[in-house]
Amino acid sequence: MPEAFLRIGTRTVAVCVFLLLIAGALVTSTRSGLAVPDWPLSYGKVMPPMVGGILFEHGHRLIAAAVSTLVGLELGALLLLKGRKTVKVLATAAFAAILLQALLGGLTVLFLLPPAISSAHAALAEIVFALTAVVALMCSKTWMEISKREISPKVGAPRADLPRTEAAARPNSPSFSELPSSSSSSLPLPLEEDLRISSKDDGARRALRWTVVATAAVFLQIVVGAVMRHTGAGLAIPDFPTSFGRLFPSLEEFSRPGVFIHLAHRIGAVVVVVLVLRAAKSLSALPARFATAGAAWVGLVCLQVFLGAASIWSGKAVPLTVAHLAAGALCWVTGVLISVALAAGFSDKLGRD
Amino acid sequence: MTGSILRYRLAPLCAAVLLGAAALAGCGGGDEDEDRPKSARAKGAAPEAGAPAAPAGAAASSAAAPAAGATGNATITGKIVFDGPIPKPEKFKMTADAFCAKANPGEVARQDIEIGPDRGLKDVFVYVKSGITGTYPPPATAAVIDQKGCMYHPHVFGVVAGQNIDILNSDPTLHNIHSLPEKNEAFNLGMPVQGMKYTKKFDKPEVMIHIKCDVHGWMSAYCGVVAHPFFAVTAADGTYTIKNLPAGTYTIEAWHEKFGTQTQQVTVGATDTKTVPFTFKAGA
Repeated sequence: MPEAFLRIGTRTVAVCVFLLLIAGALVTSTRSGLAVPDWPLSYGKVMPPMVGGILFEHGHRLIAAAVSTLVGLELGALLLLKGRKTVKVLATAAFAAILLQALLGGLTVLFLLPPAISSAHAALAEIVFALTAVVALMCSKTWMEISKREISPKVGAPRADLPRTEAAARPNSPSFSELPSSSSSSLPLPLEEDLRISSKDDGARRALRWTVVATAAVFLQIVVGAVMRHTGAGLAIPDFPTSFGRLFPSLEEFSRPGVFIHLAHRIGAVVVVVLVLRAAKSLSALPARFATAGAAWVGLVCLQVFLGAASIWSGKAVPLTVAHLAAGALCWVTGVLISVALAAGFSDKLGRD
Repeated sequence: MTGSILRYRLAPLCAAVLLGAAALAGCGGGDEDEDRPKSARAKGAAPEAGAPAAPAGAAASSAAAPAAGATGNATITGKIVFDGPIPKPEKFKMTADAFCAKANPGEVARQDIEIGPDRGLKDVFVYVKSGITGTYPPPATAAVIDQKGCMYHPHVFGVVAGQNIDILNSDPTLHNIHSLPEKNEAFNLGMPVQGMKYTKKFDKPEVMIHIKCDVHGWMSAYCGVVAHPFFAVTAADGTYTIKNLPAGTYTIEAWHEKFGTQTQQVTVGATDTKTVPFTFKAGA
């Protein structure tokens, strides 16, 4: 299978999942989640009149059907490849998750949007996005090149430039940093300069740790945000950055419906900002591509905080709440991709230790 | 080997962690809905007005039938007015649906605040909140709510708990009718065909239940469900009348979807007619 086809195809799938996520955000933001009361059909039809809230809800269903098909096709195409077990496992997980996602979507409609199911639907969407994004990363030019070398006898053979014992101990799976600058591959190797990391580098280890922690925090923050959104607590605290005109709500205000979850989301935002800044600081000490990714991550998180604030200031204007959700998804996936890339970069440790 | 370890261990681990996290996400949440009226959402609210008082020893003897509610010849009437600068009606266009736009060309005022020329406030639900004892069977006649011209008619109405509500769709476009109760069973019904009719009921007293159409976001109605027939909704001039009350001392509550609730105490004799006026203010 042509690599370019795979590369473009997997990226397209990830982008389509992101668009599906935005379509879902539109359904919630326009309060159209129950505009179609039945499922899987819509008013007993495959294609009801696309008026009012039906445009968003049924549009979301149509897009979901198309994207699920794409994820299935992606899995089918990847299963035709030799090797690449990780990618196959991830693509299978993505396909299973998107099917489960469809089921959750149906259940939340039939049970009139219970917050638990709706929040799980929102969280699983992020996971599908992350899985497809990682599949796209692992089918990228850089990663494919590494993969080629892993199965290449030339690369797998002991290297003459290494001491015999080290060469014998080295597995036939070179890492980013291990890739030779010449020899078997004719592809360009940007890895030499901007992706080279070593497991012996404490800074790199620290960067991975902080990135994973920050990414987990972003995901938890998204989950809290989803619960807030689906319990109607988005404006439970109507002002920002103050809370009812103060730094923190009073005890009486705190006991009002939705205030606790809303405040948790605000505090979570502070935690996420601190953790992402810390991760970005660690990443800045690594090769250029990681440092750039870290900086972009910080930029996304700052944008996300602004969009959250703007959502409150605007009384939850639809474009802003949708943009807030989209930027949140990008923050999460950025963290996941950096984590995976760092972890992959560490695969050189067995060869070098 | 390194790559193999990465492939075999990293991917399933990531997938398992991510899917587990999604399951965790489902653990949060409550059942609050910001579309619900504040009065209905308030925690620890007093027992529903007018609910028949349980006779002494009722808990020990479930077989004891509650006494039938009495009626009489007393009347409570009044006018509900709005004080202060009259809010400018919020207007919108029904462009989301070609039929609705044709039925209501141009800008349409929302039904949430309607103040007459003499400051009479329309669509205030007035009912006896407490003081009524005994049980009242639901009337045989069904209440009616119609989806006509992409609006609900009436916008505010009341029923006795257990009374049938006929839901009509007079429009040649589709609607869904979605109730958002806290104490009663919610429903969300598709009504894609003109002339369709459903009959539903709310079995428990609940003031108020929000009803909306998710297809046409502007369509909104409120239903007050009480345990007795002593309620009314103000007319366009802000007047109301509650008839056939037995003699007694009652708490009367007036509910408006934007201006909240007010209560007053009143005592009526067997054939009295008492006037109980209310005055609402913005932000009061």
